Amino acid sequence: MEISPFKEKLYLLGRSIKEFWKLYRSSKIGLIGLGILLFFVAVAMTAPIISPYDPWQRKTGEPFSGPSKEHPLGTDDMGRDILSQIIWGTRISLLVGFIASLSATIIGVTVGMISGYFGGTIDNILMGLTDIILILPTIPLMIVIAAYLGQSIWNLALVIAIVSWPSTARIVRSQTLSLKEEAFVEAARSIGAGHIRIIVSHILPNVLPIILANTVLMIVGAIISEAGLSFLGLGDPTHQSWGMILYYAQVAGGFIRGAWWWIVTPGVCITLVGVSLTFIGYALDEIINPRLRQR
Amino acid sequence: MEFREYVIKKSIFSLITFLFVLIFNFALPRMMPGDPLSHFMSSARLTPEMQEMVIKRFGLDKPLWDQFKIYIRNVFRGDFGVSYSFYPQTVMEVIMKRLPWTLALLLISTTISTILGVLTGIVAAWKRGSKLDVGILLFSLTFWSMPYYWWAMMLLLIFGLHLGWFPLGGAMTAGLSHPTFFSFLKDYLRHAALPIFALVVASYASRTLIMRNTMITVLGEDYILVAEAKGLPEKRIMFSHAARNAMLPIITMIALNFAFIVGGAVFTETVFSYPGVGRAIYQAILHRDYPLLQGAFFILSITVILANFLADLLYAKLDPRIKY
Repeated sequence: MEISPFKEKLYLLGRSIKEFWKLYRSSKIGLIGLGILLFFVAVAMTAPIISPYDPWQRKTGEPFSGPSKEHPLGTDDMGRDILSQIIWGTRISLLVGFIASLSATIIGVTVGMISGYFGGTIDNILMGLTDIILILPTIPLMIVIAAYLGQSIWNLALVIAIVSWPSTARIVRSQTLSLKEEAFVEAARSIGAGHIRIIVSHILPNVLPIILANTVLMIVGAIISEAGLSFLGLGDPTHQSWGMILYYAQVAGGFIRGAWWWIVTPGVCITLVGVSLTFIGYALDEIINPRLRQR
Repeated sequence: MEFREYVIKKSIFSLITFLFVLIFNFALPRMMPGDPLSHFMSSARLTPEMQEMVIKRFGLDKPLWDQFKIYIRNVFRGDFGVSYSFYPQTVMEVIMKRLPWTLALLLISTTISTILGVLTGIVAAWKRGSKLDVGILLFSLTFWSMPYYWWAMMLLLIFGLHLGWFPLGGAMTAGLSHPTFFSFLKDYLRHAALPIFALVVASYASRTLIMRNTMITVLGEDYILVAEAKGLPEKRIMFSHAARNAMLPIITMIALNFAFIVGGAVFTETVFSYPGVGRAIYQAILHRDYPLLQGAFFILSITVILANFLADLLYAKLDPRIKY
């Protein structure tokens, strides 16, 4: 019986995922991280079902009331339910985090591969730019751009991506430098493969696993940055992210009135998602960079 | 390559970075969609006469190249225009009045977090795999994933609002005169303690993680084995042989981290109402005070570029193996 190349590829992919999972399962830290992350992803997906109130609806209870049976996490200055805001905020915060990190990875991988593969002047210019952005004060840079771009979650993701790609580009470049000297690249070149073909089908597949952990860790930074920019008043007023909840708590007097329930939960959520992703990134790094394990 | 050539190379890079900031600052408001005039006049409250003045000042009715010349001339005079949110102070006045407060916060917190981070990093690496190591690792990873502005809010909520141990904001007690340096210092520290603590926690985690990693690498080197074989005492190997060599990457890191911690100042000063550049940036955001935002970004960038340049020089002096 003949096996189509597609089926064979699928089979190989399935087997490597199975093997990968076997390695991953042995990491306690990785499993804890995955568990926490899946919990928040589930919350984000089921938000319309599990949210007790409309997060925007006012006067669902007394303003500034602490945790109670009707409002497990209390209410804000307009009597809106904070638990519902947290639940819907999970969606926005995770979404912005993932999109920003993914975009930064795409930019970083492209720049890094081009820079490492072609070398010369292109390399000098691209790496010069990378180093410049690495040195500049990240948050003021994001603030200046975000202030001009206007308030939307897409702009926030864009701004975060603009400042976070350089570290990825650096890793990818050094990886590409050593990959392009490998025998299989030489072989591909000798049978007449073009630059684009070599980059896309020979270098890219070998670069991706290395930056997987990096991408996961970048989501942490992106979520914290989104919340931070929102907290400073650069957030999207039409979407309630965790950062926007903190922003409203700060400007609407939640802090001065000692409404701790309004401030504690968003931060705990950001930290939990951050820790879970950090753990996952750590576990991935140990699998992919086995040198770390042996040391 | 000689040391001199290395210095020249690093100077050129710093200069290019400076030029990048210069051009970026010029291009940003002019690149954005919409009426460029609106980016120079954030509030509609400006009278027609004031609008006229702004247009003249930035040369907005002239071609781009002339605008650029006016801009460069202004920058080198230290003229970033008038701040809208602190009118009639100029941007430069607003920033220069606040910069010392911010720099003091950053210097103190960077020093403390570096010492703490290096020490715990050494211990964690030395006792690798022990309960202590895992504890330090978990602690740092947790604080690494924590938004530090939230952490600052928690500190203020607990120690400022509930326990009342520290003031809720400001850098000095208003109206209080200080006859002696000691009373000045006491008042300063009482106000700065929580912001410094928040900043230390924000930067401690990455320090200790990096120190631990480089320490582990160094501990695998042959000269450590030699030192052990010679029967040297453990403490001496740990500090004189391993830690001294593992310290080097920390210097580069402190410099690169400066770019991050300057941002930390924006959040910390906002939460603690601390009168530094960071809080001025926050106020500038609220009022869409673009001249102040750009001026602050410019000054902070220069500070960071200089810090990096100095770190590069220090690194080259300390590590004789460096390939210039």
